[in-house]
Amino acid sequence: MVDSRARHLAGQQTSGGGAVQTKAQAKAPGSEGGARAHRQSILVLYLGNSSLDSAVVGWSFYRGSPQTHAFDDALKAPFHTGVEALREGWRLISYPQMPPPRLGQEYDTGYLRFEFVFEKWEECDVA
Amino acid sequence: MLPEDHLLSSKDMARFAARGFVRLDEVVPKDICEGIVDEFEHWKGSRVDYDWRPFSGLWPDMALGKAFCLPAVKGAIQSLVGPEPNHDHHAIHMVKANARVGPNLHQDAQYDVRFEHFDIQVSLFAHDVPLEMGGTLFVPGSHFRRAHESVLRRYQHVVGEAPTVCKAGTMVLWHHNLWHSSRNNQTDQDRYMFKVRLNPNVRQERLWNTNDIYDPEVVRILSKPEPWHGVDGRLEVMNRIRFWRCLSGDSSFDITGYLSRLENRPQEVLSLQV
Repeated sequence: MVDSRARHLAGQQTSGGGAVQTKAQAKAPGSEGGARAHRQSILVLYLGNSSLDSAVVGWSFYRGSPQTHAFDDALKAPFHTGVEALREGWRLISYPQMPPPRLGQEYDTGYLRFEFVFEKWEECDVA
Repeated sequence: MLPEDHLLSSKDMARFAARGFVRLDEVVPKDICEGIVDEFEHWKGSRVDYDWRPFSGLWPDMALGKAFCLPAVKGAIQSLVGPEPNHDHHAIHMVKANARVGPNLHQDAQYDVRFEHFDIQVSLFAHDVPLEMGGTLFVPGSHFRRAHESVLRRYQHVVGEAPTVCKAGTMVLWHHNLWHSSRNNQTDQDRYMFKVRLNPNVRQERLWNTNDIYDPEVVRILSKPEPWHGVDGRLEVMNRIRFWRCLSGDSSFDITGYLSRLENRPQEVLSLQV
């Protein structure tokens, strides 16, 4: 199941790359108080297998905006697969390595192996 | 030793082996729960106690002591760690009303690579815990993972994670390596969770009611991986087979040959026919 609230937090339109504006430049016309600037948001999707179209098995979300709590209580994943995140404008910046298992540890399990890191660069209030 | 009808069944033990915990819903009566909450609110001394001593007889004359003397509770503990476990430590955890806590998924203590021996942690919820109160969250099936303590903090959510939502008097008995965390408390009431860690003093083999040990449901429970296991689901089933071999004392136990084919190393050399 995909949580639409979490998806909304994670799926805002990207405003594209570009230089960070100064506080004076960032103030949007018509806005009441508060400077606006671009900040990075990070979405980490843990997938069940090594390919980007594998199912999401875990996730973490960090938002650069100071107004938003980084930790969301949503219990449902924002996307079903990593490819869905690409389609919502998230940019993949890290692909997991696949090291062979160490001798004698072939059947051990540990941390989540398939960690894909995405980013967005979006405008937000920073005052 | 307690009578068989107070002990866990083989199906309960299979669930513990597979998912890392068993849950006893509303096992503590309401009147004892009310006494426990009152004791927490007026607790004398430290709320965290690391004194290693026999568990039996602790907290006499207290509602908390009465809870752990209930036959169903003693039976579940005996099924997992034997009749006279040690008290490792206990803590009265409290998340204040309207408290936002950061993600803190973790595996307790240091690396613990024991396999055939394990401690249990018993979490007692002495009042109702709705979802928004942020009861302790567990990640089912994480107890075989080699992970170090709070390095897990980077995982904010895992598919299939199980926040505790329960009525007063519920206990969760969990494997010491199970991943867990506290959550935000979005209510106006402080949330208590009493936790005690128990160490075994006997080999943890066939301590439960084994009358149904050959029930096919046992294999079905052990065979079903968690949704978050992904492609490692087969490795986790192999872990469960190894664990069940330790618990049952049956070194030949297997599920569809997962371990047997790996152990198959025939030594006989046939003479070539000339």
